[in-house]
Amino acid sequence: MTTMITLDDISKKYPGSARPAVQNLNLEVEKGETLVLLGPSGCGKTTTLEMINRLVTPTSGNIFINGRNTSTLKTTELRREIGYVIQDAGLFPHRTVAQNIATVPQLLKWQSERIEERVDELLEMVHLAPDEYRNRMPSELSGGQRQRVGVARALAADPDVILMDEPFGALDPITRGHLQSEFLRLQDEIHKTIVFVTHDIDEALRMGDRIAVFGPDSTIEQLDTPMRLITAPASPYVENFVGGDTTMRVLGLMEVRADEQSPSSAEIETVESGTPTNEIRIAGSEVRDILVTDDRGRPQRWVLADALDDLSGTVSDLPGSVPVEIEAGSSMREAAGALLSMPGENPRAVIVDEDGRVIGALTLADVQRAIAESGVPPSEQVGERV
Amino acid sequence: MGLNLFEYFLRNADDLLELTLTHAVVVIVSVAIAVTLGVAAAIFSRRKTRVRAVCLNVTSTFMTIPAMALFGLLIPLLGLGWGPTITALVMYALLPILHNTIAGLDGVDPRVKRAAEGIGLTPVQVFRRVELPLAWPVMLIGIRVTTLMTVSSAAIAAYVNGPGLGGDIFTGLSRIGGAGAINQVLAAVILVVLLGIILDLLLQVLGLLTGARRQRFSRRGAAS
Ligand SMILES: Nc1ncnc2c1ncn2[C@@H]1O[C@H](COP(=O)(O)OP(=O)(O)OP(=O)(O)O)[C@@H](O)[C@H]1O
Ligand SMILES: [Mg+2]
Repeated sequence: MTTMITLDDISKKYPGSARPAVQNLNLEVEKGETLVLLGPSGCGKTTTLEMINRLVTPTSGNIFINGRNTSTLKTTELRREIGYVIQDAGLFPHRTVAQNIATVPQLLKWQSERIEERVDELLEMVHLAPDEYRNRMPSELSGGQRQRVGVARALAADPDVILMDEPFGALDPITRGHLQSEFLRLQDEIHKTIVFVTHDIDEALRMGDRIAVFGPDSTIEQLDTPMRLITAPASPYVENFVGGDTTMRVLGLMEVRADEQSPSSAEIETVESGTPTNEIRIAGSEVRDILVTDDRGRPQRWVLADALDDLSGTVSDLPGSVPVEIEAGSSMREAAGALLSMPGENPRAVIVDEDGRVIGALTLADVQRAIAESGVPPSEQVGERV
Repeated sequence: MGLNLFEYFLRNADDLLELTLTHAVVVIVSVAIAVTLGVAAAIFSRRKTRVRAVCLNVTSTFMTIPAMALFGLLIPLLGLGWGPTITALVMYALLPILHNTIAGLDGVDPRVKRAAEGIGLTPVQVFRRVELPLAWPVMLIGIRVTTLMTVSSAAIAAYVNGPGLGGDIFTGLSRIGGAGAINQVLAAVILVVLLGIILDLLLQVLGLLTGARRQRFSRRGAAS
């Protein structure tokens, strides 16, 4: 891991204000990580972010990007190398989507064919059909679409570093969720170094590789991974800020996998449809429920052990129930929700891969085991705190 | 009325056309100077609240001076004719332009300016590419108001022997009851009104062209 951005003992005191907005801040952002700045309103998140592209000049201290002291660089050139996305996008209302996205490449004097290609490529990247959206004005877009254009504009000149100040803050929860997942997928491909400001704890947990929790007095209370933040808050302040719901949040951070995390996977017995029932009885030493799949391994039906007494036909003739599927990689929180809403005493879901093939199974016992192993203090697992 | 108005127009067509054109020149020159000064003052005083207040107070004071008095007071300084005419008209024209330029620039969403700075536009580029185009529709309204006002005030410039259609109005009124006096006044007034309408239409077209250009871009939009 190499360091991309270093904030070295940075302070900022705005003229005329009694207290510094940021005080003796030290922070390192690794190359390719998303670092979230999280904290209450007025704690200095925006100030910290804007000192990185020098929209705000630090009162003291140094900031290095890629080893270069930013104060030695020309500000406009520095900013053209850094993507910048703000709440509600800040698009130029009098310029088309394409012109907005093309702003920095034009400043960098790219050839116009190259700019046009890049604009289309970026529109595809943020899921806006170029032919439809290229020539729209920002006022002709929805809030979510504007924000996508804002992201595309920030990515235009392929900067290594992207600064995002509550980029999804003005969106309704559903659109915000969509854009968050899209952005996570995009980041998986482009691996930018991102500093992401939010005051929404759930957004922070979702977007951040690491999260810096700011205290009210503009110091960093804890800088840690989302999981550590929830399971091992460094101070009562952080614990309070991260808030209750610990169990659910931990589950939200865990992905469903078909390995030792879900021991039920090892016990699952699959049989291809059309197999004669008597062959199964011989193959299995003990009688279990079996999962009937199609010839590609995609789940079709659960057949309960009791039903296997009928040896006359094939598995396809036996009565069964439709299995609930969970795709590997989805969050444990979703999986737990699905399990809890299933009828029966021992609900059981089938884990499938992205092609829909069975790779394991998940039960509530697996979920409980995962919580226990995550290190959440048991007293908090009840989740009665609000 | 000996002659009817229509005949009066026909008979004096050449003179009236020349007077109207002169009147138009007076208006255009005055407004052009006022736009230059007003916009410059607005830009200069942008982040200086005191200077801005002084500019606005001075130009609104100009506007409250009665027209006759202002033209008259300029005679000892600038004599008669074009000098006092243009000077007085510019003084009247400044306020709407200054005011609307300030309002237009102030109306630009600060987040848009922040974003422009943040992605690396120089201060001059932020102004030319973002602030000015966004302030322009409001500025244009100021220019249109000023132009209409100037078309009408320019008639009063006849008081200081100024050029334009005002002379006919003044002489016509002074000999009212005499032969053709009413026609002389009416013809000049009609031409002043028509000139106002035409200039305003031209400015509206200018507005459409400059506003519409944003929408009409080559299909592959990026190149500008
Ligand atoms: N331009 C400025 N002049 C003076 N004080 C400022 C300025 N900008 C911010 N501040 C002050 O600095 C402190 C930190 O502000 P900042 O905008 O960084 O907070 P924030 O964490 O981004 O808050 P929010 O979540 O509300 O956006 C606040 O107390 C604010 O009032
Ligand atoms: Mg902020």
